[in-house]
Amino acid sequence: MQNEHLDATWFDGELAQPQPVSLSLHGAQLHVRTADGAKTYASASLRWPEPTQHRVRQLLLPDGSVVECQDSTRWDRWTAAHAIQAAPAVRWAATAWGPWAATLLIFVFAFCTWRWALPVVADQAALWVPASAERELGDSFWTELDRKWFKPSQLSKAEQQAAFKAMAPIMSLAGPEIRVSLRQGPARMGPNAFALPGGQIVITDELVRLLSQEDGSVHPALAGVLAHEIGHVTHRHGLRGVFRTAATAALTGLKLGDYSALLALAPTAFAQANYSREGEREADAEARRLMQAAQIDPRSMVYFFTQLSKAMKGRDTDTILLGLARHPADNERIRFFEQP
Amino acid sequence: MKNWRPAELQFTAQGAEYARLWQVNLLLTLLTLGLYRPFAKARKLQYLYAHTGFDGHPLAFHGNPWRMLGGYLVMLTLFTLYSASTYAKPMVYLAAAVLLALLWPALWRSGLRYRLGHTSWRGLRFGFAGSVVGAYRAMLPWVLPPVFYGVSVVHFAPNTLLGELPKLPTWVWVLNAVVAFGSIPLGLAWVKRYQNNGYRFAGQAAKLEMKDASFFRLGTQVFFLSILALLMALAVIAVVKLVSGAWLSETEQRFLFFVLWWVAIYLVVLVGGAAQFAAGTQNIVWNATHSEDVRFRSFLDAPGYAALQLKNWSLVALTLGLYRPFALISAQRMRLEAIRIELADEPAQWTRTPGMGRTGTKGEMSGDFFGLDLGW
Repeated sequence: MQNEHLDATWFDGELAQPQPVSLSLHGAQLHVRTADGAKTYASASLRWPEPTQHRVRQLLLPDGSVVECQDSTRWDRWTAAHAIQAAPAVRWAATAWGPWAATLLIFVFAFCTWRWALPVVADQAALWVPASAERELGDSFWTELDRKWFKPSQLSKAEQQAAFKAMAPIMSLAGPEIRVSLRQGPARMGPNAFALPGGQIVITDELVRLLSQEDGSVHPALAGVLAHEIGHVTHRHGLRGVFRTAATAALTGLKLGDYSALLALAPTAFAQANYSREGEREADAEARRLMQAAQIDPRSMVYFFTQLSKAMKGRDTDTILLGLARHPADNERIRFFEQP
Repeated sequence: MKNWRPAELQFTAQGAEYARLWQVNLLLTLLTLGLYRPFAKARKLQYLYAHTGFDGHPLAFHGNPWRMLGGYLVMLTLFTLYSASTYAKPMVYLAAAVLLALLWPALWRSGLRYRLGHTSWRGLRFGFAGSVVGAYRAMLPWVLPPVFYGVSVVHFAPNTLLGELPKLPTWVWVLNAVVAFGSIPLGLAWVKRYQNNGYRFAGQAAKLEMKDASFFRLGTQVFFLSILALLMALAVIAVVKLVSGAWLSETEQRFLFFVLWWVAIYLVVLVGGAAQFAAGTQNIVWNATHSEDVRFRSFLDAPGYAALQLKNWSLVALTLGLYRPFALISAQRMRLEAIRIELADEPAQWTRTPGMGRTGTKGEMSGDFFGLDLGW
């Protein structure tokens, strides 16, 4: 079988008229013999066609000409006899197990990336962002949010003073980047607090009222909530979240590609949910540490959780959408703050 | 009088065969963090072109993946910078968007030249002869809506901050919508005309002769069909809501409603509407394209194609993406099998377009430094 000729047709790139050629292999050289003479190509540098079920084989030569063979059986027998091998990726796809192994590996890879690699890469990227840029990003975002959704606090001067008094022990431990604002939020937001990248912390009037005591003071749990938000700031959860979301979206886009944009949102949302649960735990740990340093009993946070669940009972807020993700089960958090 | 004869267009790719290729391509792309993508694309195109036979001979894709890597890296850099700018201040984002819009027509033309210049049939290369100026002119209608919007904002709500919804009078909003509904189909018509008039093969120039109005008609048709479908979906969701009231709390119901509504929008607009529009576009464009010795007809059934795509994308979602290669092949098959081609000449007599490249010759040297290959 060695040095056997294979008859095929050849298009020279100038004319659409097919010309009969015979192919033969001499060592590592492919000879293409036409009516006018022979051309030689290094066999290893050619991209040999894939052994598909189609009956036509075509070999694209580096000078732009094309060899065509209308009988794939003859072609495949000839290439096999000369031990011509397709590229490794092509051979891999042609094996029985290859594509299945690839699929399995795709899911393993996707899971590992999402679970371990992305968070690390995103966190490293977030470390590169200077604190000033982070602060600018957070502040400009807050300016926009404030204008759109918030009104100035409707609490009386005395109530506001009481709130800041309750938070004072924690504030004295916090850096200058931490700035606290009281605001009247939209009704659906309810008793709430959140932190923006760079240190802006917002507490809603409803939260202050929730923790107000009959004697006009505010329960020290408010300091705990503040400490929790400071935890988000020091761990840079906002910025890290932005990077993680972007990275997950990019990776999903790579897999699904094209116009399945909405499908790509789902994994992003799940990633966000999981990362934020992790973030809440980190912030809780920081809250506990700060409270102990400020000599506030961490157990006072239990009061916050009970008040909150009382207030939320029967309330029409988007708790499902938030609760789906945001906070680890309250019971778990209560246990965390109750431990000695 | 010319003697026209039908020529066969055969699509012999198979979903299962392509799926093997796709799975390995995807794995290697992921493992190389995207760098393998041009190689994957070259292989995919080689497979699809080699399995698209016309008049007994397959097409061939000659693109060199190492060259395509250069073009891919350029595009990757541009889009990474653009995506990064969405997190920056609105002014930076606006500047990036304008810059990308300014570059886009030239990049798009470069991509067309690369793809056509590396596609052959019977050894003869296709070519794309559209000019750079022409590419910018073709996309001009698409500049109108953002410019008109900008002017309305400056005139009626000059104090609007970037990134905020301006307070415009209702009639100005309506006018903006009218401008958008007018310009988008018009731009599509111009783009398709530029594209198909630029195709060259064997010394023949393709000609697209159609009215811009056909795209307005198509756009209006798809728009009203989508509205109708959304209303029907809304009715179904309302019934579901009513019936489910017995078991679900109000918040749970609202959540269910929210999810169903987004699924409906996705299926109706992004899958169904887009498929109808693509089918209509194919029919309009290919029924009006011909060259000296080649003429085309396209009879793609729009509802049938939309139904196929709905099935495809539902299965893609249900199989976590694994059905994607099968979906691609079946959609491509339906699109290609709807096309009829007639020849007036014996193609064996055709010769290369003078000046249109073979590898290493003028066409490639002068045109595209990077192997910029856009699209799928």
